[in-house]
Amino acid sequence: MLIGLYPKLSIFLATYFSPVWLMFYPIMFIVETVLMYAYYLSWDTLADRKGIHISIGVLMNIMGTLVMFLMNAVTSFMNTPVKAYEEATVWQLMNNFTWWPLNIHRFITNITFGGFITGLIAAVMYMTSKIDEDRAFYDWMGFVGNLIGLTTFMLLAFPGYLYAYEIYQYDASLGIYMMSDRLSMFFEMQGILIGLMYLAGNYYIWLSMKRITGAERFTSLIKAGFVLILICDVIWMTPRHFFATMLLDPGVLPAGMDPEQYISQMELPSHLSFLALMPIKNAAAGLSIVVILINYVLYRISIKRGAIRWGEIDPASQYTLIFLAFAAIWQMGLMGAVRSLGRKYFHIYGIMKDMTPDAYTPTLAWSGFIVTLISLLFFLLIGFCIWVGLGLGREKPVKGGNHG
Amino acid sequence: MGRKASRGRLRRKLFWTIISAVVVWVVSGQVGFPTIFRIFFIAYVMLGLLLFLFLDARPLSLPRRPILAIVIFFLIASAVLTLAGFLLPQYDPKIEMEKIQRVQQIAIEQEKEKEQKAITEAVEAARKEFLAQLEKEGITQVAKKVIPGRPAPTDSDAKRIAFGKQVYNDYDCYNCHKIGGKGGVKRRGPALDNMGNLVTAEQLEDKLWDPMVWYAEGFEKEYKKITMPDNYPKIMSEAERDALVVYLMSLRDPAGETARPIFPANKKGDQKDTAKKIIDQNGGD
Repeated sequence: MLIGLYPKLSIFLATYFSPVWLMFYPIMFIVETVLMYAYYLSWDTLADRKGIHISIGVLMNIMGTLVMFLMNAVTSFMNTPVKAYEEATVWQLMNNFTWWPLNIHRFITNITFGGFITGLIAAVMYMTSKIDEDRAFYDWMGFVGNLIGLTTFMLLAFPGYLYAYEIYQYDASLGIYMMSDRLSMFFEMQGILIGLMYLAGNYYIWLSMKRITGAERFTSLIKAGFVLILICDVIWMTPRHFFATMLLDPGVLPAGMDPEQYISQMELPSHLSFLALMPIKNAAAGLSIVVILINYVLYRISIKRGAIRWGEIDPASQYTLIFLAFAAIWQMGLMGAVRSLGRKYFHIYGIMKDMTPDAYTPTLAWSGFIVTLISLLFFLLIGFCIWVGLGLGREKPVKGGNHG
Repeated sequence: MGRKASRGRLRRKLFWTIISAVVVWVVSGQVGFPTIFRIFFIAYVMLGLLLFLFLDARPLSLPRRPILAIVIFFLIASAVLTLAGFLLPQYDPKIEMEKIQRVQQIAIEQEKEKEQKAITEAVEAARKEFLAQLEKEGITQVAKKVIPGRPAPTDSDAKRIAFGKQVYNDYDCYNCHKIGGKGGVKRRGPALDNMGNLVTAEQLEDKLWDPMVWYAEGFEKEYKKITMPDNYPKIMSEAERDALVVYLMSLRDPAGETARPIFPANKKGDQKDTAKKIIDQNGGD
């Protein structure tokens, strides 16, 4: 599709990244696919030699990560290209300002994504299970998936900041376009999602504790934690102003209103402008993370002192797991849109202009609609995989697992 | 939980929600938040009510048709997130489309130039011969690649200034610089209100083409980090640059907090030259 729709860009990238794009990437992709089939098909064959089986899995993940790093090099080059690109070596083209921040961010995101998708699959299987033993297993599976997803989700803020920092270092106008100008409301939407995901993650812990005997004594403490997260959310979400561009666009102003009067009604006054700056937002995000950690510690204390009843969790928890997976996918789509739109009217920033009529930044409303469609398509595919792979709706004996 | 007890809890939640909303509304007003922010905070108080209703809700039962329930849940979640995207403030893409079309014109002209390569080479050769002749006569000139683009209006200063102001907006200069108090949220570049009284047109031209040539007093950190973009020679035509310079040179508000230029050692120009040129521009006094 890339070659067909963007031939000029494809030729440029294939020329400058030929070893990466035309050689290493296809080879490693094929190797990864072979390893994936080997891992899946040897599950029973290597049941008694788990070490080898796990090694195949690890190798497959390493290959997949390297494949991601290679494509990240091309993607990051499109946003922050090496300025003297014509004389640069392939390594210099790859090792641009945002390559490693993108690598780190996506590496952690892959784990987060895997955790939440595991939770999603577990939730679907839990809700469609007919026997208690199955529900107990999928309850445990959902818990573990959510734990992995949520733990790594909390780490994502830091590589995200590093990524934005490197964009600012490369060209401050790119960073400002992203955070203060036309893409600022995209980040407001990101804030909504992160806030909802923190709340959902804590809500899942709350429901998990309801199935542990003796956990009731922590109820007040956890509720106080929710209040704190709500306050942190408000701080995180408070924008500098309630219009979508740095300067007021013509047409936004209501008829007959003075621009200064409108701005004073829509913008934080100067003595409160600190609420729009990153230090206080970082503090709010950090505090939210601390609350989640405290809640998890309370959960662990409850398990040690009480008995956990797997399979007896409130089904609302399964909707929470589904929501977390959906929000994670939607978030990835949104941030992908930001990365792509942050290039403004360039295919490769500062080097190759986008000369099509569609070179402008679409509105958040339209972008959100497209992201929703893509997310739904993704979940249709996942649903198909669950139906084919896990025998959704068909009774299957489940081997006992570690429910600790 | 009995119905009576749960109604009691609901009443208590509503009571505390109303109290919280009133407190938030009054305090935020006293502190100086505009109305829209206060409404935003109240919305969060309502979200808090919803959350606490969820926390104390009775456990759900497993759905009789789980797949249908999951699909409906997906659709609701999709609708909520899509709606949130619609409700947040939007901009008019047409404004940016017009801006991009103006800037893209340069690239279109560049494509045309490539098609007429033979003519361009001949013109270039003639130009070099001309420059060589000038150099022989003692006139130095730095050769710059001619990028055809939007022609600057020539019939009046007002039109050139207007064109320059358009260039300023098209290239998003307001992202880092303030004029009239507007633009540049974080301190990345100096305010430009008094540029016309502090630098010469030539120095402004040099700065646009090479950000390292001088810097504004107090912005040494930003200068060392090369915060100002250095790709304008590639994306901006000389006509646009010249118009931008005309516009910036028209800004002569002594009350504006524009920092004076600092010329690092071994860079073109220095303060004495600047003072002399400004004096000459203003008639010798």
